[in-house]
Amino acid sequence: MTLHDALDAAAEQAMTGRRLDATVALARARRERRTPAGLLRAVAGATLRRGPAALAAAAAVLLLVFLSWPALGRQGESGGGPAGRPNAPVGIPDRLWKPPPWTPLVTDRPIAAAGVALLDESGNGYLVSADGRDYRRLPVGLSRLSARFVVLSPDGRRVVWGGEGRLDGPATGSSAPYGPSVLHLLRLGGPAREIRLPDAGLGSEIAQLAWAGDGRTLYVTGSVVTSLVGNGAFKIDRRIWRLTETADRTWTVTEVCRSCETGITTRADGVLVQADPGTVPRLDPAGTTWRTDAPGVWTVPGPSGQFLLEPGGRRAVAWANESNNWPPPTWMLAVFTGRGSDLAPGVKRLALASSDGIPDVRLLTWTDQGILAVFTRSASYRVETTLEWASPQDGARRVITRVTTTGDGWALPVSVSARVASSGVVVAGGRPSTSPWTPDALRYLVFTTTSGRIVLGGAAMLSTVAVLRTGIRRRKATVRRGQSPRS
Amino acid sequence: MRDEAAFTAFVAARGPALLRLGWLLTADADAAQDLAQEALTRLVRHWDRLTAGSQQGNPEAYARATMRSIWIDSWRRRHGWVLEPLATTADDASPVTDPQDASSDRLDLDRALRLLAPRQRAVLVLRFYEDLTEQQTARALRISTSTVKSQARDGLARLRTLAPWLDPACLDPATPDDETDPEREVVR
Repeated sequence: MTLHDALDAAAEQAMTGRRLDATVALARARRERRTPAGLLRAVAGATLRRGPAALAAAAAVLLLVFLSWPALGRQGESGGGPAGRPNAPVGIPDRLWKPPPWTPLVTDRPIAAAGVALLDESGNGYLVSADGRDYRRLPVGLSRLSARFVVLSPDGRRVVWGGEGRLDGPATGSSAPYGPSVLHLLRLGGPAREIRLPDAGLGSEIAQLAWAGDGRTLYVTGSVVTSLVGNGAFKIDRRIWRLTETADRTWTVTEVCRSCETGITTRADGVLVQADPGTVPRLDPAGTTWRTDAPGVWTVPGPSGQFLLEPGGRRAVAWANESNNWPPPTWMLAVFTGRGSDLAPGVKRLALASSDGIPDVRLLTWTDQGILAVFTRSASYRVETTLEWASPQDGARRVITRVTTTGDGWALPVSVSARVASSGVVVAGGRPSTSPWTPDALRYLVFTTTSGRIVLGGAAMLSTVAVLRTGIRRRKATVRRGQSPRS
Repeated sequence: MRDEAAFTAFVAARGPALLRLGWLLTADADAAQDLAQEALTRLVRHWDRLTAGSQQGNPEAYARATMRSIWIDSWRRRHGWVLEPLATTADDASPVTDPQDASSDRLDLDRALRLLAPRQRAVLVLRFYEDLTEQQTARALRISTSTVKSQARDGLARLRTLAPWLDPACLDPATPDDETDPEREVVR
């Protein structure tokens, strides 16, 4: 007797009286085929069995898509042509919408120049092309945090965005109050650069960003945590850094000021102007003392927050709370007139009617057309946001753009390129696609698929699952080692 | 399915063989029946392709391969298909004293098989009952060929200890010709 025969005999005796039921198998197969999973399995099985035919069909579809790519591209582009085309009119769009989630990334489908930068309630940043017709999404996921700032360079060809460490939060178990502050600098059409602001290892917080006129220099103000006092208290030091783009497209970070106030802006000639500089010594790029009476350094009395200079650099405007009394606080646009090297304390108030119900104003730029600002007002359970010109003479305001809020949230303009603003032109704003099933979205989907992102993402997910599964199985196997599986 | 009568006839004819394979794989009659029944359900989906057309296949080979893969997958998932605890362990298992009693033989081979580690039993069943080559066994169990060899050697040695009444020649089977026909599939 062979082992085969012995096994067969033992099995035969063990299974005496047992039988298989063909009708049960047939009924079960019929039932499974009727379920969605069964149908899917049947289709998948048939497809796999007809491997060459299925592959040929898939290849044909892909070929068709790629052959029709130019046609799809023409349909997807707006009527005014791509942004930045010499003949396209450049201006501020008269309407702004919150772009949908399927808006293409600016790194995937670059635009030549941006006119307006938007920021939504979730910290997602968007760009609107200089002709106001195309929307692009910023890859804020790079920073692992929501964007707090999105600022366009004067020519609209560079954009900086970033978040402060507070959003990221300190590491678990760390006593640092903030995480590091991260900035992303993108030259449209090029790669994004990630820059971490230098800190003392305890984190930092960004306060304000200002581009110099050449678009290759960026000033950043923020606070660096210098020491922990105890009981959760910490000391901070206000800093100003200058980021400069070098010839090889990298960025260098230089600390230009320590223990200084945070209000900054840049003059048309690129000179950094600081608000209420205080008395603590600070450093300029060469390491010498930054003096308030040094050439090129202006002081602005009064408000220390956000302010703007007029193109000639003789006047500044700030959004200030005139009274600390409550209620109600009285808000004003304050215009300071320059006198000598300093701006005189003579303040001109631009009246804002109290009935406006304006809780917030964001100053964007000051051009020959006036002061461009975003006014947000509450009106019966909804928020209205407008982009307006305000006259520095009498405070008269002219609405340019209404921001359309939809049921899925809002995106507010947070930056306008000086090139677009100074043009004084208002163009018809193109509405972003309301449906994902547009040629543009289809192209984006195909692009991301064919570029392997989905494949790579899936592979990474499967690999992670496989590694975890293997680890769990090995752990279990280690526990069971030495035992009979049936004991 | 176009020909349900043929399928029913197939089940009647080859069902016992499938049940036997199921028992050898699982060492449990109920589990063996479930395993074979599941394999038949899957066979129904492919019956037309396997029995008709130019690419006619072997339904029983398909069913046996399906049973093997179902069992191996489930065994690998559960790290041993634990069906019921045993009162005795391998170390205190005593051999049978009446080698002529067929019933005792069956019981003790049953017990001996249960006392083998699942991988050892799988290797023995696939190698010496299903007559797979070492490479095919290694591929089916997703282990190396050398592991197949060592597991087969250890499994046979353990069987000699657990079931000494078995013919020594039975436990020293000739090695199937692995190199000359690696893809063969024996159907009983």
